[in-house]
Amino acid sequence: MKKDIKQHKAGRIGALDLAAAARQGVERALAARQAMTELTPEETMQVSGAATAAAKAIIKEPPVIGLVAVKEPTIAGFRPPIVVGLVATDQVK
Amino acid sequence: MSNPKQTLCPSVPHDWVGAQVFAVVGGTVEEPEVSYLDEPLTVTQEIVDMAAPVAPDEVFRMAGACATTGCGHYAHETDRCTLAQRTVSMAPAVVHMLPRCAIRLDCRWWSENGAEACRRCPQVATRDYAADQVKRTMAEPPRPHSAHP
Repeated sequence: MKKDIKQHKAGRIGALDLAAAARQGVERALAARQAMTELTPEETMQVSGAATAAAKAIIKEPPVIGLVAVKEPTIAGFRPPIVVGLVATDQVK
Repeated sequence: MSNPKQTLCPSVPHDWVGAQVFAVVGGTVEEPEVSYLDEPLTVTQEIVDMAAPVAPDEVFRMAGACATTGCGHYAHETDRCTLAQRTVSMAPAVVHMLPRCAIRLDCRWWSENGAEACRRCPQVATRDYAADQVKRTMAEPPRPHSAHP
């Protein structure tokens, strides 16, 4: 997993360059999606086995490296529910 | 009217309240390279459209108020972001010199992990279909504890 640090460039861009940088970013993202759809030989074997369950198992979801909103209260963590929305007036003291 | 400074998460979705673009993910599929904006920009429809046909968080890095207990990565026990901790402990440093970053002073990853977080940040794409196993493991929030005092 060793990487040559010197090869990596953390560049800077101004607001005027944003569109051009975004286009490059879109190209990279599309290539990443394409790479995701290419099956490994092992995965190809699974599909050729015609097992629906196996085919479902190889669907790859992208990981999200970032904020993961907690939408449901977790019983284990006793997280209080957050109600975003209508509150009945008879509950308002 | 001035708001008190908020601690920022450097990896929020584009529809997060107050989200601002502070970087763009370029590079290659194997080695994403983040370029940092001189100034953060409020996420507008125009910016969202720039990412089409993919999702904005595949192209842009966006910062927004840390959700603390509303985020699966936040550790109650330590009041810290476990995602930043895993990133520092699992991902390799990819730069020697810290990139100039417009949100650093308010960034939770920086405030909790200092330069070691910033040396790893330039390889992070918020949503990456081609992420390797290390990044997939990094992205996994910790399981909730079975009991909480």
